[in-house]
Amino acid sequence: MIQVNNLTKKYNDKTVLHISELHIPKGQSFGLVGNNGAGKTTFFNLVLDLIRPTTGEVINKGITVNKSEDWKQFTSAFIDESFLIGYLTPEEYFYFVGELRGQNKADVNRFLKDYKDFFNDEVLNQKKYIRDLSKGNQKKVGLVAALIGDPEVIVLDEPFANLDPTTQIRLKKLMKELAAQQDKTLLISSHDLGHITEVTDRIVVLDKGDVVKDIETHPETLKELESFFTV
Amino acid sequence: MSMFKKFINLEYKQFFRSSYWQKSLALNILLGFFALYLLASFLVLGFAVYPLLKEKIPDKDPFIVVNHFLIYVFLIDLIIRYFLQNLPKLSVKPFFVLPVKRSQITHYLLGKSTLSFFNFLPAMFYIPFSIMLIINGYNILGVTIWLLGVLAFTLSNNYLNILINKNSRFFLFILSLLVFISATQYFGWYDWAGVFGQIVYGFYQYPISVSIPIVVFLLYYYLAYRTLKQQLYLDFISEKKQFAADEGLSWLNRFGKKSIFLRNDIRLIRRNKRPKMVFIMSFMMVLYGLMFFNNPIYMKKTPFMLIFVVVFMSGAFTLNFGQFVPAWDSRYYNFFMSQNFKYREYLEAKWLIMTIMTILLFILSTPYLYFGGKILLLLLVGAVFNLGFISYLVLFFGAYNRKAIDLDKSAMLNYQGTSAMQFLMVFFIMIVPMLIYGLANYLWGFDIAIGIFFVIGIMGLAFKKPIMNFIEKKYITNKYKTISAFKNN
Repeated sequence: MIQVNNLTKKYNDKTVLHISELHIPKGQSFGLVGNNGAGKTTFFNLVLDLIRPTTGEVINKGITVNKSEDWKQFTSAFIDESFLIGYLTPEEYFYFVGELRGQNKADVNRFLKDYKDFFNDEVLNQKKYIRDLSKGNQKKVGLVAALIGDPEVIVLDEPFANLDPTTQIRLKKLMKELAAQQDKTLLISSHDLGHITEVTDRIVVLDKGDVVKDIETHPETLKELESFFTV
Repeated sequence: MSMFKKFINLEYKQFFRSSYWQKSLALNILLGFFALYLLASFLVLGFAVYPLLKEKIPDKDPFIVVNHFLIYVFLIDLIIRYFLQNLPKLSVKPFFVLPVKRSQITHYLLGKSTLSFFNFLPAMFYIPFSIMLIINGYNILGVTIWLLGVLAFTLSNNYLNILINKNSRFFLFILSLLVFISATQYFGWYDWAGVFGQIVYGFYQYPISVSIPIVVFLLYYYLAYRTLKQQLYLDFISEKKQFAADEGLSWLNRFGKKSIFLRNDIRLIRRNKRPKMVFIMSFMMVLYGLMFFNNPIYMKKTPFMLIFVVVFMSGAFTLNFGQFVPAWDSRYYNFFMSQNFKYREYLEAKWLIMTIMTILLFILSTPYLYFGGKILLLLLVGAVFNLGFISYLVLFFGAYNRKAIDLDKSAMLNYQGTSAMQFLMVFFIMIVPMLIYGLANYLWGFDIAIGIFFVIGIMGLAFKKPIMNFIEKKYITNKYKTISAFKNN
């Protein structure tokens, strides 16, 4: 589904990301871990064509992302709060995203029904603007919006951060369900080794911009990762 | 007192260390010069008004004439303050949990507002005027008391403005009061100016009456103190707001995918301070014509000014809103750029909202027909030129927009998001029409010159597709730069 070739990103001659080759097959749930500054968000930004690669390319379902915008039709993402429109209510925001992905109001309402528990009665029908919601609830809005319209590729940066324990558990369940669907390719990054090993099939470890580990998730993965990050 | 010193010290650091100050040094210096210029003008006016009035209206006491104007001065002062004067903004959150009394913070904030430019400016007039009065033989004690009185009224306005707290209903009340007073005065039903002028003149005649403005001043101070003190809580500062449900924007659906952005822009304008202000101000620009059209001097001597007047009138929204495309969406630009739509649709939506507003403003300015059919024709030319030229121009410059905007800040005297690019744009908007007009007028005369503007507008509309293609390309080329610039400031 996603093919990365000789991808590098440099800022003032400092290489912040270098991936010579990476292939993420369709249906895989792919986890990205690494310390601060390892290049996780940079990688996602390159996948979403938000920054220009210094060399190389990201090909999403046959489309080179910095050549054509057509990948946007089947890709969705939530990176950070800058993906939210503060002066809309959550509903308005969902409808907005929905319309851009060809879903009408009724479709979106039907979709949102499944997330009632996830929102815990704090997001919908509150008549509050997103900018007035708590950080955690804002995050929930962004995460759910990224799932609207049945996207094939979903990119989530740090989905577990800032969430309360109950929501983390619910989100994990949700991610597992998504991962189980054969047609959905999931790209997730996290600092929480436990969460990410639970929900992904494969984990890539980035360190200072380089891929240092590429492992399929199995029962021993968590231990392996923990020992890797123990300094 | 030492607490106040600490506050002042912090204030000083906040000002000079703010990234805003450092980034736009040149702009701040420019504004500083402008402020100095205004102060100097008022100072000169203060000294000059006495001999001027003496010369022009020799049979009237200049002191009384000035007093007659004061009711309008005070009301207009309030209106200007409403728009321009910043309320004592609370960067005081860190103090809430420190051992500082709320009353101290409040007094400090109110005291600080006394030092506002908007209090110095009137004083800059009243003081030299008082000096001139004394020189011309008016009673020193009386004049001093009078000065005290008008300054007390000025400060009352300062605190009243804090009480009004940018409440648009109060503002409308003040505005309609001004209109009412002016109208009844104009038609001679009631001599407001005379009555109020007599009261103020009374400070000079009967020094004891100065207790009126002083009591008013103290009352407003007390009320402002009480209100502000109650607001020194987190829930007041963060201003959590509920909102009224559906706005009935479904009629926009007819515009297809553009409607998604159109609806979003309408919400952007309604729910955020800065774009809202831009929106409201653009309606006030319709009144701009009154200054010119009923003034034969402009019509005769500087006809080229008219082309600017009509362009600014129907183009007020296009210019003020358009110059910050796409910075209005800067806070979620990343999100937009990863969504499923084409730049073209986004740009078309912005173009559409500017077009709708231009047409609306033109329709609102049709009553200028009163000044003759020629004026209406001019207005039409202005509108067409806006549609077919100016709107493309602002969109084009938007591709080079690199400064983010915070939507919640007031638009008045707010230069955030302004860069050399905007100046360049204004330069273009001033220079291009001037050159076209100058040349055409020289060669073929006024009517043809105006006709050329009309033709440019029509051509622009006819060639919308290739022009928008060109603009879209610029946006796509600049995409990464824009994203990273919006992220970093």
